[in-house]
Amino acid sequence: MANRILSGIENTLAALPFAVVAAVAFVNVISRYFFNASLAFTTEITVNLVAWTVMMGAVIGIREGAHLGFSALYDRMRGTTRLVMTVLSTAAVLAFLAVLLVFGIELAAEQAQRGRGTPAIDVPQWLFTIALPVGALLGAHRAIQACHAQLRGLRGAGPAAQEGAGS
Amino acid sequence: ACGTSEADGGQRTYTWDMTVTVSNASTWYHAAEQFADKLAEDSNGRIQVRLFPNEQLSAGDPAAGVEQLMSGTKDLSYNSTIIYAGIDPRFGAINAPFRYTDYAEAEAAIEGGALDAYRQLSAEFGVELLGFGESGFRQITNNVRPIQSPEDLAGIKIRIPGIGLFTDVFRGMDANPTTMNFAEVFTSLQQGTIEGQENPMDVISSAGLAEVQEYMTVWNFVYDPLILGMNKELFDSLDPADQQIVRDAAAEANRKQIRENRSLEDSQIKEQSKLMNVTVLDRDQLAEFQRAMRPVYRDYESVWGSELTAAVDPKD
Amino acid sequence: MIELILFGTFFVLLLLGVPVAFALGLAAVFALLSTGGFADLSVVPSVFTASIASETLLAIPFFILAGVIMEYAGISRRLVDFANACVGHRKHGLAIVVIVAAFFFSAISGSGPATVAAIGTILIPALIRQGYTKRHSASMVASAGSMGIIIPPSIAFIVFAVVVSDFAGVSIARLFVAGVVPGILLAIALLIACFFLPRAAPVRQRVGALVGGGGGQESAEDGAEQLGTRASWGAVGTAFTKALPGLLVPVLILGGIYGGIVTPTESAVVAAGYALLVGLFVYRELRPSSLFRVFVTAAGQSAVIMLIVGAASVFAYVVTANRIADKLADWLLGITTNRLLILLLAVVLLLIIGAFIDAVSALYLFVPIVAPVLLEVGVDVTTIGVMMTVGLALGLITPPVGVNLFVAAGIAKTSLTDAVKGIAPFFTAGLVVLLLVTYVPGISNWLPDLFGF
Ligand code: NA
Ligand code: NA
Repeated sequence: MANRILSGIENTLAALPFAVVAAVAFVNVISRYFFNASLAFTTEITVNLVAWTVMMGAVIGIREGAHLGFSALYDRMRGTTRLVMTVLSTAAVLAFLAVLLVFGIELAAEQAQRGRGTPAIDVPQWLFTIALPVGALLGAHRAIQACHAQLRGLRGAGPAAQEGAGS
Repeated sequence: ACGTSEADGGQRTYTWDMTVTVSNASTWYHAAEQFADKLAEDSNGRIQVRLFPNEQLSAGDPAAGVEQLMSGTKDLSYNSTIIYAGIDPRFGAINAPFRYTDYAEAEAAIEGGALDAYRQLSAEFGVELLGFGESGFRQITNNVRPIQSPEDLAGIKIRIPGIGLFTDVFRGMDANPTTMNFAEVFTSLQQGTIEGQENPMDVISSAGLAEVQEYMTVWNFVYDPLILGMNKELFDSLDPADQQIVRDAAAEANRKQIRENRSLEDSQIKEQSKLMNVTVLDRDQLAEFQRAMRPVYRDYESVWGSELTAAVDPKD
Repeated sequence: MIELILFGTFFVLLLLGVPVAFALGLAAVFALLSTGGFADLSVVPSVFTASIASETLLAIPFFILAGVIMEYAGISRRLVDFANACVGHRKHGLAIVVIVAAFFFSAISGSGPATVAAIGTILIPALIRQGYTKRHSASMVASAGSMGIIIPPSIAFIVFAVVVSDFAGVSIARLFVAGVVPGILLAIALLIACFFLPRAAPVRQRVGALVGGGGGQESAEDGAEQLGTRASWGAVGTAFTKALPGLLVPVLILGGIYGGIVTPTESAVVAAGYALLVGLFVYRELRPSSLFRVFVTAAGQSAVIMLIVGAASVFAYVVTANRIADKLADWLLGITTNRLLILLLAVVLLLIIGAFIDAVSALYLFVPIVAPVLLEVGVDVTTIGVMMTVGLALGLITPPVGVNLFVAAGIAKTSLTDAVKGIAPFFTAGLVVLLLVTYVPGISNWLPDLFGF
């Protein structure tokens, strides 16, 4: 249940900014061409909101195992080797997310303190930057979840169950 | 980031990273090269500066580059005050449209207090201001008509950088300002998606915009100084002798950059005159634009703050 | 030393099965730690956000969105049905459709992955249905999509013109025109490669099911469903009428750009909006309730690519800050002064760079190093631009970082390893074109000279 609510939040935080970005860009074309009046702030909104879509989309990617990598070696391994590889590669994902989390917070805090806003309509920049730590946190949760599922599969079943884990 | 180590005799050696926004063929980069050479020479090789063009250390994003300078992950940079204004709008006071009609006026204001005001402001953000270079005045090109008075801008679809002030200025003259990725500007001008754009002379010339633009107006729209900035914490950690070495090298580099920029601008305007119909506005025409700016100035004085506004005022 | 940490960590992580984005990012993190310690990691979020929040890259999520909407709206399926009705009965008929469609979309998109996303969602499932292996379907569309940065408009040419202006002047317009002939050559070469592909018997399966999108109910009764036999003229006509709204999409996009209504980036949004209207009101296959799902899907697909872009930029930061590119170039180009050999070395260098770094970052990093050397031995700037762009276009399909291949593999629902196994014929075709444009300057210069650019 909690998992489904969390998925809903992740999906919304990815889809909503994307929808706004697309709508703003679309309306800008229409208004520039038909009414000879542009929304001059479109670029900064579209460009920055993409940070949210990318980070939350990345979380969805971890959740659904969509991130691309080389699985050739992993696929050939069995037993303990595979178990160790699973743990190590999850640790690697978590390590990079930790950097995005810690230093993303630092960057957002610095931006808030300096009062940096977007150039045209002065939306605080940190509102976009915190997509990094928020995404990193949610992504870490999903990475651990995926690792857990994989380990359970390794312990509980033969090669057939292992195949499913990577895709 | 910077590297530091002890050399013989207790004197410290440094390796600093410095970026410029534009390419390594620019006057900015040439001046940065001279700055690096002079530092190495005056410090007997103890101070080395590694140069990076095109904001290479911040994925091409100048605002992120200035943030890196402020937080100390980078040591030095040449960045326009327009970019600094993206962090805090007070930095934009000197970029107000038609603030100065020519270089002499700008120089007088800078010497007469603007530079000191900017030094203080930069310090608030952790940047030691080592003087101004310049990107020069921004000029305008378009395909509709020669622009000689504010009314001539009416209805023209013009690409501007995404800055609130610029939007308000062009809306105030009844133009249709729009923001757009610079990489798409050439094609968009060619196809008529937009009809005009404005940029410093060097950009207009090196992007070859004359191929797709008919008219250029030399209207000295915005004076654009470059801050030669150093991370303040780093600067303060230097011993006084090294600080002086840095200051001297910076002063020389800035002088060279400004000299080179102005002579290049002259030759570029001459060159572009052969490719486009170029109008150079006289003082009376400029005064008309300045009058049109008054309402915008009133709105923005609170943004710039009274201190900065007074500091950048033309001294005549 | 730093090179060893950076590339060593990257390869070890890659072999472990760590996704490319995280392997790139963490390798850069280790390299940063080794040179500057913990404090230097501040550059990671700074460079990461700066690169993903980039105007040049907005076209990627937009074209992916347009593709997903076209899929949910049923436009893609009807286009495929029409293509099947026309050439599906021929041997490799659909391969021809892929190359032609990619050529067409390349003329409206400036980016490689965007082209793959735009045509891939439509055509990869169709290819699989026609009996091509997943790996060849993915690699064929990925390779065809590399035309996206060769045929104008091209982000790569724009970036090249900007960066090379330090050493030699060349207009963006001239480069755009110069890309046309090499683009056509690449299309022909890829087409020839297609004819050598193995194919199983066509699988009878509804496209809707493979695409995984909404709708697809009426597909079973479509005339084009009967693969392997020639469709009647009547069936072709029916398929055409049904596909017409989809066939108008490229017209809308091209008309929008060349009619001065939209920029190439905006054209993707307009295409998405149009597809939305068609799906909601013409085909009525798209329900407002599924819009949320559409955006979630598109966000996920975009993020997989953009995360790589962001992490690759952090990786590129380490490469730049430590002058690794210079060292590599010095080493390679210091070997000889013979012009033909230098060109060959430049090609090798390009392929190596393209394997690891996306085209735009690669141009920023290496044009300043390679271009002056080539200019000095008498290669003209147009040829340099075309050669670099074609070389980096090939980089879009080479592992470990081949963005086109990632997108295509994602759509084909196959592993990257599997997709990589399919690139050999297309890489060979591309390599032939690369060598041609490298050693025959006339290919690039003839058309722009003719039109006086
Ligand atoms: Na293209
Ligand atoms: Na590659």
